[in-house]
Amino acid sequence: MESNKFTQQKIAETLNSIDGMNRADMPEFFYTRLQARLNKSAPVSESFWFLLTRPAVSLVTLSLLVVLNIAAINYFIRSNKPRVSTESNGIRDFAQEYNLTGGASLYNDKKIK
Amino acid sequence: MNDQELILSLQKGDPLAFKQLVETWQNRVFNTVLGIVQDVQEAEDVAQEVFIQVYQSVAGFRGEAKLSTWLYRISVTKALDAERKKKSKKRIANLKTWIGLGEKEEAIHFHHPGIELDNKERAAILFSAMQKLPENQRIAFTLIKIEGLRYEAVADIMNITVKAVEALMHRAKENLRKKLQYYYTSQ
Repeated sequence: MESNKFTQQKIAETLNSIDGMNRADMPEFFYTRLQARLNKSAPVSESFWFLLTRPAVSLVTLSLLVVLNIAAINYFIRSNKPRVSTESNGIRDFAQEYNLTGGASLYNDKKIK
Repeated sequence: MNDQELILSLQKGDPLAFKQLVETWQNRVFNTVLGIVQDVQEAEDVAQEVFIQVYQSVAGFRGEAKLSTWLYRISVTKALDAERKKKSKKRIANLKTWIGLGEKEEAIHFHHPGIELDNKERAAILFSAMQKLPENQRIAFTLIKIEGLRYEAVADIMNITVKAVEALMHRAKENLRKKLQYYYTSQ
């Protein structure tokens, strides 16, 4: 009970500790430093990297990268399948055109012997 | 030179008008920003950014809000941006500590230069608790208690009603009381 009263008193004193405080004064020669900074233009890359440090922006960028990666892998898998079959069709057509199918040999094996 | 004349001169690109604006407003901008970022060097950097933005965007200022309201809005926005930047750096540092690549940083109490010596320690504890308040409550509390603005002025700056400012202040005090209670009982 006593300690609670003591804590409440401390809280009240802490909350009142800034009552009647003075305004903080700007360090001297601020205008000179400001003018020097005004003459320099901020590099664009700095603001770009700062933008990326924001959690929302970095999360969206990361999700976008993941989605793009998945889409790219999907596209690669799908585009590869028909190419393989066209290639094999082409080989089959070629083999048929030159009578290379059916296991028939171009050479007369008996003659060779 | 009144506010309207000052703005007209600024829009014409008068360097003396800009110097006058900076000299008139630098302490108020600095004190507001300092109340939020709680670091003298950083507060000066942010104050510079505030005046640079004023310089670059004064041509588009149409006088719909008072000059003071406009300046306080820019100050609060820039200070909160700096805070977010600092928090994201802190998150990275915490992550590094967690995976064993960095050392844990000790929390340093901020001592506001405008506080009397007798109250310095208690005020430092209060400033530390203020950092954990939600942004809107923190803005209202800083502008009223640190910068000494009236509720009506804060309502204009935050673009809300006076009643909403009162509610924010009430919630801010309640939250601070809870945080201080935790601080003192866990010691």
